[in-house]
Amino acid sequence: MQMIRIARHYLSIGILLFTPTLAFALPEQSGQPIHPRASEYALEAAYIFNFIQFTEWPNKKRNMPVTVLVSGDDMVRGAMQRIATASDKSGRTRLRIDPCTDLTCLGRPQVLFIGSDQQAHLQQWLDSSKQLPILTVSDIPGFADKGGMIELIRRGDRLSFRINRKAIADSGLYVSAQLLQLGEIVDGESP
Amino acid sequence: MSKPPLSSIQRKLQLSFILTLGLAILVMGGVWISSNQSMLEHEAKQVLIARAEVIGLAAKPALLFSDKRLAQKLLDGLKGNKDIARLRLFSANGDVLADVATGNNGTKAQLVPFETKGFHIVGHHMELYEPIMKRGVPIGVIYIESNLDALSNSKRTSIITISLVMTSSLILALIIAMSLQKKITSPIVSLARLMRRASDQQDYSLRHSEVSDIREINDLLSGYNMMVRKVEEGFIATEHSQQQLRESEKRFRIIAEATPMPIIISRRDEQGSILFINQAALHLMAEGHPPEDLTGTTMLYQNPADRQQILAIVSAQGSLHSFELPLRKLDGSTVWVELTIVPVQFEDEQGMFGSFVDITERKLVQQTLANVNEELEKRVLDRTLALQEANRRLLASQEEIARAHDELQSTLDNMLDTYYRVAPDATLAWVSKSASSLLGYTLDEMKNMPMANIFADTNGLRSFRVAFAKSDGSLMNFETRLRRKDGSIIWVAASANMIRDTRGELSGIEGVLRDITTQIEAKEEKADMERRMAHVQRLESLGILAGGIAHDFNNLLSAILGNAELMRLKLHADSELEKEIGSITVSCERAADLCRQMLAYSGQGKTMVEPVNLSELVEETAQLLDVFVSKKATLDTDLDPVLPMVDADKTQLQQIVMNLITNASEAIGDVSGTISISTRRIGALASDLHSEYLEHTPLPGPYVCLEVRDSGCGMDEQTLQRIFDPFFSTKFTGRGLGMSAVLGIVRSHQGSIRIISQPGSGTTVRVYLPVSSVQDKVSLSAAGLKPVDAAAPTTDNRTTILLVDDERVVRSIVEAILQRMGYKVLTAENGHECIDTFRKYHKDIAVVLLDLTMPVMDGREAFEQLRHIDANVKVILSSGYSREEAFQQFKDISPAGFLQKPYLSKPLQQAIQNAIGRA
Repeated sequence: MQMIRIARHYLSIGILLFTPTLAFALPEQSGQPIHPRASEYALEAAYIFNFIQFTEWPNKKRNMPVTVLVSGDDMVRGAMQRIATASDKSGRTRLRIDPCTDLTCLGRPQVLFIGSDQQAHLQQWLDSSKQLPILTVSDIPGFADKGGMIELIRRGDRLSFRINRKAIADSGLYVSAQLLQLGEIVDGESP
Repeated sequence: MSKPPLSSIQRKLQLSFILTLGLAILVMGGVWISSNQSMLEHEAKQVLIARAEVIGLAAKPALLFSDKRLAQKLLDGLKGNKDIARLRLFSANGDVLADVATGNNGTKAQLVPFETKGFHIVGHHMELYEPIMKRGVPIGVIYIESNLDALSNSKRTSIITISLVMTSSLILALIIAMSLQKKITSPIVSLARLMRRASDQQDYSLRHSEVSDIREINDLLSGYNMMVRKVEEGFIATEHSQQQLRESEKRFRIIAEATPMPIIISRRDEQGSILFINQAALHLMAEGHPPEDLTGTTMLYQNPADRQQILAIVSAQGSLHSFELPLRKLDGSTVWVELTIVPVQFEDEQGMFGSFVDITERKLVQQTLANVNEELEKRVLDRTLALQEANRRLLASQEEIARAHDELQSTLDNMLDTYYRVAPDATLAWVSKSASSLLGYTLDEMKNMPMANIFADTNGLRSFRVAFAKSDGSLMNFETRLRRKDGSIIWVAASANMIRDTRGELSGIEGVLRDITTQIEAKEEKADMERRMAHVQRLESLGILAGGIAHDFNNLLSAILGNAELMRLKLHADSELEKEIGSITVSCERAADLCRQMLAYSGQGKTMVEPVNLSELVEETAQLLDVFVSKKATLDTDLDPVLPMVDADKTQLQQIVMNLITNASEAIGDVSGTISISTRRIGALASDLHSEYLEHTPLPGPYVCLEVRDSGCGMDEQTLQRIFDPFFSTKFTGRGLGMSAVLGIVRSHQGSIRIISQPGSGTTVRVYLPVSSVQDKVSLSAAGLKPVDAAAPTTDNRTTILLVDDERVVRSIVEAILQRMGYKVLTAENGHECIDTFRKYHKDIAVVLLDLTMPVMDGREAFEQLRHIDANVKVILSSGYSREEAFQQFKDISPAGFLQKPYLSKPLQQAIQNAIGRA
């Protein structure tokens, strides 16, 4: 019985958590007006939140909140904020969502989301965050190929993600294999 | 060593139940425990494997991405499991990804080697290496070490449980067994007790009264009761029988003692010990001695071998009866006895009951008789020898008699004639063997057959009797007819002689029969032949006469006809004498026709043989038949359209047809009637062709048959006999030559004729003519004959004809005719003159017209001499005979032509022109 419980927890946790998280990310929960693409941004935010669950930062204390910088994409930021509020209320992972418009706001964040309007500056962002324990996430096409860690990709009406393991390994971050197995591994090392 | 005391059935049953149940439960328990153990171990293994699979499944992401942290976290989560002592996660290449020891007495870390797969039970632990697969490819191995505490606890628990169950089952089974065995054994024990009492006390009136609800026990109890009742009854019966036996024995003794016949009952031992001896035996064998002196029967035998023989007979046959032997009395004297021995059961012993009668006196008598017999036999033997000698002589004489009889029999059997003997009752007493072939009966059938049966009719038998009565007891060659068994009639010549017995009285008739059937038939045939020959000779003589008359007539007619022809030639066509000349010519032709018929009858008529179709000829003649057929007669024809040809003279065949039709019409007369004419082809047999009117029967073969049938008055036998006689006619106006001519024509054509007629039934005439071998119509007459205009005068004045005929009238007439035709004519009246004339003028003479019959030198000789003069001389023969008759004399030389007298000018001219044309 115990074994079954463990198995269920580790095998299904990523998939099962998305749905309730997604619910929190939707703007109707927070009473804000609905954008036509609100559900997409909310989904992306939910994915980012779950990425955070399966990531560990070196030297990070347990009770410290996870700082998430969102550059460019206010809709995603808004969704992230809503998730952070809900998560804090439920006593789960504490998040701090900060906007970031330029490289100067890179302090000591744990997560950096680069919005699609920052595509022109993508490389700069990547160079700046290279080999730093920052989990870089973006929905810009080709993000993972260019050195980003997790790239959100849309396939029809489904959202998936691509992971650059090398970038993660170089940054010193630990991303659980449970997350890795759910995404598409970039850099030819997929088992 | 004494036998152990018998144990009761109860104890044995109890022991058996206990042992059987205990053994069964133990075995069941042992099997159950061992199977349970196996099952527990298997279950534990399966649980371990399931755990490994679950862990492996959870660890797959960690193994895929070599996530040690995740792997360790996973294994750490299982630390609290009491069953697990150790966990280790290996990568596919054997690297340890995570490891955890739960502290539950697990193996030390450094002692866990890498294996790809395995299961071991080591001490108190189970170790499992289970590969973790992704799409059939191993990505890692999970090692689980589990302690066996739970398993051991399970085992202990199951053993205790099973033991408890076994024990309780055993106790329960024992209780059931005890009650069951009691139920079974109680009636048996009670029965055994009862049986012991019955045997001890010899009381068979005891019965078992208990009833069991087990069927077999009940059967046993009721069977015992029945058996005991029967034993009791048997004892009673035995007692009764023994009582009867005792009484019987007592009676026997009384009788045996009282009977005057000596009786000894003895044993079959060596001594023949005596079990019983009556007074009569004692008196006979041991008079004056005490019974004790007679120790056994053996001492009584005068010949010891007799006893052995007796014993052997008794053993083989079961008893001995009327055996005569000498015995020795105790006083030493001999007594002959007739002994009978029968095996008996006497006083519970097997013995031999022997009774015997004193036959000493009888033996003496027998001896005396034997002596007398011997004397008698000697005398008989002597007499027998004498009789045998006499018998031998008698046999020899009998053989002699038998041999003579056989010889006589053989002679009679081999005779062609049949020997017979008739008894006084007119039955056949004996016949020789040839009688069978003579009459067709077997010898057995003819034995005692009445004589009347073999005679052809009663007249024959009567005649025979009359003839025999008239004779003086010996009748010779009496011809009579007998009837064979198959009904056919034979002629025999019989001889008969009277047989008288010793008293001179008639005891029978004997004689010989000879078959003369062949002789009688030959005699009859000869008479028939003679009759026919006489008839034919009469016809032939008439024919010769008619032929001679016809010949002379022909010459006279030639003269008359020739003058008439000359007269016609000299007169004008419209002369008033034409009518009278015509009458003369017609009368001459009729007279010539009459001569032809006579010549035809005599076989000398002119014939021109050629293939003739008789059907066509009848059709051609039909037009003329109206003249001859009665107006009241109907003429029917049935002519074969494909009738084969016959070689015949057409004119003569026409004459046959006309004569037959004429006769048929005259037979019908003035009443209505029918005349039927038919032609057909037949394969005639000798019986078809046989005719009493012909001396020879033509050969069988293919023939054409002309049949003329009328419904006229018919003819009787007398008329039929004379129908072909010349000048015989039943008609007042008849000349009697028609049928004669028909017969002559048929004969000359190698045919046959038959007539079937009965008064009032009409007449049928059948003429048979042989079919021609040449079926294409070819004229056999001389070729090259061409029709010639009548008496057309020739303008050739250089042609000279030499006319040779001894008749002056003929010469003058023919000369005149020839001259009229334009020829030069030289004449001669005989052969000499012919030769002389020809020698002088042969260069001028074209043709010689030569009469065949002449004095001095006939035509034949003259012809030969003419040929000597001129080999190419053209000679036309003339004669009143037929062509064939005339030409028979000229087989090696062929005249240039032939004219039969009387001939007209036309044929004369044609013959001359044909002869000249051959030049």
